[in-house]
Amino acid sequence: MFHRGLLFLFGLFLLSCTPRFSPTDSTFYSYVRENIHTLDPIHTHDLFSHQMSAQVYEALYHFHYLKRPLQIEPLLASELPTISKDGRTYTIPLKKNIYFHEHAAFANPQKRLFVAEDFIYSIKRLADPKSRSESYWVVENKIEGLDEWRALKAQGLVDESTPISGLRALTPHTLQIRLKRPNYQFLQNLTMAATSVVPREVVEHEGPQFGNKAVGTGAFKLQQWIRGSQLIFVKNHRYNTLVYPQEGTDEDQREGHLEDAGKKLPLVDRLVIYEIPEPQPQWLLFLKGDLDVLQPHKDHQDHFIQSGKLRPEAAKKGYVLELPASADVAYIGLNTENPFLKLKKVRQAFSMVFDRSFSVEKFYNFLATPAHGPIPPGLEGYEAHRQSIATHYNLDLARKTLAEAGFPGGEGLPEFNYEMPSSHPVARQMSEFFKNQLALIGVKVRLNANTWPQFNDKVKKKKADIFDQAWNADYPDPENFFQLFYSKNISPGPNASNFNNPRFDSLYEKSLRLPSGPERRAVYGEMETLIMDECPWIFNVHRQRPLIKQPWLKNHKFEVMIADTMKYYSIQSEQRAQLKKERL
Amino acid sequence: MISFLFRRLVNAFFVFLGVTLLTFGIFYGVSGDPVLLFAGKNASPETVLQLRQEMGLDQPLFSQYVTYTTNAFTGNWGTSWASHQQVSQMILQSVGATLSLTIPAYGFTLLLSLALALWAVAKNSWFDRALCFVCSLLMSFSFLVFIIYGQKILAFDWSLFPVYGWNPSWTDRWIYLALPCLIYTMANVAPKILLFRSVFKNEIQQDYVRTAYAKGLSPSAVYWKHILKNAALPIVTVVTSQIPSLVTGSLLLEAYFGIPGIGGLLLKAIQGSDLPVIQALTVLGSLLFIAFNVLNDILSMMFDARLEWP
Repeated sequence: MFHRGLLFLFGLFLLSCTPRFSPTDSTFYSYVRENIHTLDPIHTHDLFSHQMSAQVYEALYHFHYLKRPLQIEPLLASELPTISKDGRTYTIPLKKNIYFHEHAAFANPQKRLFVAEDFIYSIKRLADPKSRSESYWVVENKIEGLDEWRALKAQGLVDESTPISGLRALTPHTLQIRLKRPNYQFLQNLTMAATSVVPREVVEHEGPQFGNKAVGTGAFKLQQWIRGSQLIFVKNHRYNTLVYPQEGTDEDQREGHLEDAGKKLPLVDRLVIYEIPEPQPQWLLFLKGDLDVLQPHKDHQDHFIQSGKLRPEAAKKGYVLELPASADVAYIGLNTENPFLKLKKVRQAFSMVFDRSFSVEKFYNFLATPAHGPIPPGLEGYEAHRQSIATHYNLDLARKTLAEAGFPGGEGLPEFNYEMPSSHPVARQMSEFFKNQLALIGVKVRLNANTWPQFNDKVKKKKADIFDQAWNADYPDPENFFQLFYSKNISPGPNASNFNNPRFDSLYEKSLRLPSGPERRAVYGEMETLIMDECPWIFNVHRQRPLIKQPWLKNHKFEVMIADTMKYYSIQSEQRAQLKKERL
Repeated sequence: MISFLFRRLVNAFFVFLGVTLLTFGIFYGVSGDPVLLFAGKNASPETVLQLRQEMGLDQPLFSQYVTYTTNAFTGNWGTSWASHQQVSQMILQSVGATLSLTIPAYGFTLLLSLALALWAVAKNSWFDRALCFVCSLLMSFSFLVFIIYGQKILAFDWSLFPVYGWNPSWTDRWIYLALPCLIYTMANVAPKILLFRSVFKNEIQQDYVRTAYAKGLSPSAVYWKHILKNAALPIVTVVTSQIPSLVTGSLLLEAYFGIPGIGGLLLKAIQGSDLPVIQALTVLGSLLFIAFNVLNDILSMMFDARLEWP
């Protein structure tokens, strides 16, 4: 009897372990591979926290989900801004009848209308030194009176009620922003998470807990967040900011991304996002059908991808491969303040000895394109044919150039420190490769593995000679890459190679004064050519991030700069239930 | 007894002070400048300066250490630099998950190892030799091997357990904890069996055991009343010395199975130079170790009649 009881209990246990998917379960299951720190949009400086926060919070503008190249369209704003002739005043009409999610802190917990003052409060909160936001740079030195307000706030001389000349609510649904000087990237800034609108009552009510209790105007409401494990969002039934886009590219037409055109958003009822730092459980859950999408770890890519294409056996199971470009550049930075690395010919020789094709094949499994300049494909001003002799592998020329610099066969050069941002085996292999390449021209390199904080410290304090790094676009404008070479941004600013070139600086400043168009593109071209020749970086690759999708996931189109994507996804629940049954 | 306790507590205080000094020194020696990390990649020098003031990191190092130690002693751990959450709340949220993994897993491991060790010693036959062989084999694998193959075979291939997940409900979380507990036991039972076996073997050869048999006591009475009682001291020492690590968690199990516990919290804090969290967890860990060491001394006095209160 006792044994039967045990067997019965074990049977019950097994049954409870078997995942159940109802044919009507319209839930999107996904994961993030790093733990989420916070959902507070002024602190979501890492990719995954930013993605989660964007399901709940909305900014005034965002990028059209389907159109490429990326196009800005209104989100909480009802139209694109009217910009004054001097390029400094933005008048922005806002959508009416947009409500925040329910919260007890509101006077009417069910109905709290979004108004222009909410945006002004959100920007002041971003600027408040007490907020310690990592994203203040988004509005820093741009809005009239804001930096001054911040300085006074630090001294306790002003508060949130003190007006700022550059931020005005003309009516409850009309906003006016006045800039210090014309800035044609400012509209891009208004798409960024840090400028998302948060409700003051909830911020004050929740205090330090606000980062856990997301309350915005977005398509999803946070239902539960178990830190270190999972987040669950539910559909915001009152969501009326957007409907599914009615226009897209030809590719969208072919892939059925326009079948839901004009439908009310969001299309799924729930989001379940697991926090899974280890690759094995990500992979196993995906194979079981418990995740709808997978970004396979390098160790698991071979199960799905061969030479940049989906394996036939994976295709037979219905998996779909998506290969979005990342709008990034991986590079090896050279500290141009180092007495030897400040010599252009030394930098050029280092760049010429770096074999990008080898890197693409061996380290990226063909899922990357060789980089010859900072602008990634897909951004305004990118031209594949714009290349320099200094960014091509040429061992003989590298030897000759180094000799011309006064260091034949590397004689007279010290051993350089190469800083790795981690001790991960792949980072180590890539560094070893670079070290071996430089050894071919007689240059010695010592490899140093660091934790990320140590690495960041060395780079920001100019202690790193050579360092391995990558830059992901904050917004889709080459300016975001070119600022990394502007002399006023040297370390601890974002110009980590401490590059200082007056000609480049003047071109950069000129580009800031130009609206998007042929003239600005020409300036961008000139700047990129200069950088390719000067080689403050050794350009490595522009990465692609392969994604494997389940066949029942529809409308999934990944673009790293669009974070509010999940409201567009749809799930074919019956197909999922059927296929999962077959796979078990 | 009171003077002994007093001396141990004074020692503990200085050990604790040493721990704070060491943690503080290591943090500033190897972790890099946290301001540069938290200022963000595009921060201007003015923002960096302002943030340094806000975080109190513009103060002289000694003054920072005094603040750090005062906070450690008063339990005022402040807010996390990374998540901007109250540190005490973060720990409270995580400790339940960790303990619900480690207490059953450790308890089961302990009972199993005691039972098998006792059985092996009692039989003193092929079972003893086989057990020693299996234990040596199990000890030759790293913990990660148990996790990777346990998850792949038991959860994925055979679908006996969930691959990953967590349910905060106290009644439903056990489904997700069963496999991690089993893996914990498989990876930790072998050294304990061998240790307890040698303790029991040592006791079984003592004169008092022979005397007990000579008096005509049954084997079970000899084992339960005499051997186990005398072997209790090393067992208690092992158990009490390992209790603090039950609170600090099992990092790998938590990461592979999605258990939102203390191990993951500490790892994230170290990776991100989150001093308030590192400070709180180090203080908590060292306090537990110190407290259980004192407890260990007291229990040793109670269990070992040869020892006297100094």
